[in-house]
Amino acid sequence: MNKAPLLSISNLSFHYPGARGNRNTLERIELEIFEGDRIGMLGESGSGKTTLSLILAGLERPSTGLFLFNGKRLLGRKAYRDYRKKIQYLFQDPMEAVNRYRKVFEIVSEPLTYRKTKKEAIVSIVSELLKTVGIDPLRWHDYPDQLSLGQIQRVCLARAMTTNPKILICDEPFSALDVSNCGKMKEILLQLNANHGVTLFIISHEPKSLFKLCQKILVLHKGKIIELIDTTRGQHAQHEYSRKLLEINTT
Amino acid sequence: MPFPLTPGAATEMDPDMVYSRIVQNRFVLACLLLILLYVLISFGGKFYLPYHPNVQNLYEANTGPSCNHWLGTDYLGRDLLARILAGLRISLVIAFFATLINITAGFLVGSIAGLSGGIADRFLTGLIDLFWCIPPFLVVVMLTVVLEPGVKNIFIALGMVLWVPTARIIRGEVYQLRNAPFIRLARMHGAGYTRIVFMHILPNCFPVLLTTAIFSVPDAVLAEAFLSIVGLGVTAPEASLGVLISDGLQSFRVYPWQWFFPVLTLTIFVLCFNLLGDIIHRLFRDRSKGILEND
Amino acid sequence: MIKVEGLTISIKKKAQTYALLRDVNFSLEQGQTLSLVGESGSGKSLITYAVLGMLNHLEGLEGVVGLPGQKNVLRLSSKELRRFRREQIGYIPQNPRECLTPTLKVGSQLTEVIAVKTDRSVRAGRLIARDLLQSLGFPDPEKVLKMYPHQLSGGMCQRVAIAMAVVSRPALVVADEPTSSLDLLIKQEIIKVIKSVQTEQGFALILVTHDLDLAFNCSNKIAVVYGGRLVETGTAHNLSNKPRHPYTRSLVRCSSRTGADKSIHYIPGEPVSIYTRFKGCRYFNRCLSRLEICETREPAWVNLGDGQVACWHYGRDEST
Repeated sequence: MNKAPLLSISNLSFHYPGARGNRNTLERIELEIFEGDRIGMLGESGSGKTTLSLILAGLERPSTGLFLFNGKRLLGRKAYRDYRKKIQYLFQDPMEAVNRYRKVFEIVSEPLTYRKTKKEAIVSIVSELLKTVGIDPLRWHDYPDQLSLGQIQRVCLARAMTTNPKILICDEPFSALDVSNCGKMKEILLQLNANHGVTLFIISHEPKSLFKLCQKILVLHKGKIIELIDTTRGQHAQHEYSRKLLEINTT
Repeated sequence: MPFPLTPGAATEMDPDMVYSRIVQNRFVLACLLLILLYVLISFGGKFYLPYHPNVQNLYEANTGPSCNHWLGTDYLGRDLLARILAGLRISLVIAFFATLINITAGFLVGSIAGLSGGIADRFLTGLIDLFWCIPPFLVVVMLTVVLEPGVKNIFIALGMVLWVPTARIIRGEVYQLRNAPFIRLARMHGAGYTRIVFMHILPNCFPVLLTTAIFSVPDAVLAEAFLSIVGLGVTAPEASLGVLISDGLQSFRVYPWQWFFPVLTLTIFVLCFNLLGDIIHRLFRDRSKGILEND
Repeated sequence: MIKVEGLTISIKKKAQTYALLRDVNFSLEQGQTLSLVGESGSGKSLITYAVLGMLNHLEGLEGVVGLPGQKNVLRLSSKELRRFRREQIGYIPQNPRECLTPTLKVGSQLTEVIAVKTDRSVRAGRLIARDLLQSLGFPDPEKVLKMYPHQLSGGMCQRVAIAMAVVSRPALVVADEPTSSLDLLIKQEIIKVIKSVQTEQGFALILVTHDLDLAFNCSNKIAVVYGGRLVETGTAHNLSNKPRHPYTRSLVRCSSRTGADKSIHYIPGEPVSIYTRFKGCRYFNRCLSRLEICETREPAWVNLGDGQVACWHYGRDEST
């Protein structure tokens, strides 16, 4: 299996322009993501995980280093704009990510309306996706305030999938959800990964969720990748810091 | 196993409920009814009033309220009731158009400034600040002098001055909204400014806009009244409420009704709008009321 | 001993009566920890507000909340209530930055709270603040007192909040999801800090959380809340090994403890809002072992010796 990686990052560093101090927000990141991968990112606040996700989403450009998509460098605004069309981003707080004055169906259809898709196509795509994420048709014309956070998060997921993205970046998708509902979200993410081939990149501070979902887990600390855990080989970590993070489970 | 929907789980917070709560509120209905009454009476006055507001009748000058003239006459024998209703008409027209210009300009400038950021934002904010610093009435005075007094010019002048605080408020709201994930997402999807402004910003700013618009009506009417008292308002023989008040002031001691009735009309009108605005503002603010003591 | 008996809250909205909390009963000894476990909208925070005397203005408030040496908290006058809040209870908020004004230095805020709570002068309060912060793990308390809140990390803010809560040596401390906004590694530290203060002072602790693992790890007793009602109470050991109520069982399965494998569990449907008017057991829609009677009548609160449960599968109350 000698596939070329979908995304390849080498020697990437980043610092915010105008930030004080010598320390970079991200330091010499090396990463390869293949299509259909499920990668998790674990780290505390300040470790640089949000910045890395923004770079992956094409919203920030690396200060130094290589960022290759399908083997090619991204140069220029047009390249970045085209790249961004293939990425979708799921935000942490689902209530903030939707316009509370729009109905659920309109919220999910929004990206398609921006791309000037035909109305019949929109209806069929959106209906299909809403069914996939498990939102009852009775709720399709409700406002976000009438739904629970878990349901809104799934609505956001449906919205993200309307454009058939290659990579889906989820920023702490489970932290706002109830315990009884996270599982449904995880199940749907796995389904989407298996059926639609979306590459998942999940940021979380809960190791247990990442172990259930991801094949690889990146552990970030102070802007550097401490370790890349291969979950197919069990729940061990080698680095001391990673062990500390994982130990929270078993006190 | 089919799991039915949780029975009776409607929440108290969906946007529709706020709007329906507003419409069902008794005070709101009362104020709206009063305003409607004002509009109907003043615009319908043409048809049923026996006296034309501008017809002079020196024999009956300065008579108090009587069966003939319900509210009395002024110093030229013109029926006061007719004058007041005509004045109300003019004031309403002025207030309406001034408010329209106010919120349109204010919203557009505010949202462009808030959304674009960078140079455009700085420039527009600078403009807003500039206008903010100049005493508004000075601007209106200058404009009316340049443009000639007349109903149309008054509301243009007023509109040009009143938009400043609106733009500021809207810019503040938009500035907060622009970082909201759903707006960022819309941009990422390639939505243009127009779409974002009308699809996302407008509904979210609507409560603020509505209350601003409601409060702007009495502002405009009072501003016009002030202009009239100063002498820059509507030209004779047309009279707005302001002109009537200013005329009435002169003979206040001797013929008090000439001042009293216009003032009463104006006061009720302004109070109505202020009350309406206050209630609506409070209903929007209390949208997510909790159960704790101070909520 | 903290005792809550028959706590019931009902409110009227637009001619409809909603029973928000129904018949909440639990007790807690000094020095022990009770975890109130539930999801968003279950009413667990409402229970704590009632216990803290913050809902006394409501008309539909019934029940008894008894603290040692105190009459029913729910019937205290406002003057007594203020004294109660100053001396008998402490509150640790979910968002630690909530308890600090961003424009004042930490020192002045903390000393003010201490002075009010312990009825001392501000200068004495400053000394107490220093000692307290030192005992809570700050190596250089003076430096912290001079800082502004935005200069403190989340964990540090939470420690200041803990200091404010325990300074008057209260009988009861309520911690409302104290670790949910904190980083992974800091969560553990804060729980350790709270526990050590508890051992030292001996107050009773009510910990509100949605994290079952946390509840199992650091409490003596657990009360599971769903739909405005306690559905099960018991010791942490019992609930983790043999949970009785179907909801508790599903929750335990969803949480990580038993999820060492890659299986994913969830409870279909959404947590029921407390603003519902369903007549039967509120877990009916999502229950995997529901019976016919569950749809029409709410199960009675049954005492089984080593715990209580509200489910028609245990102790049938056939009163017709």
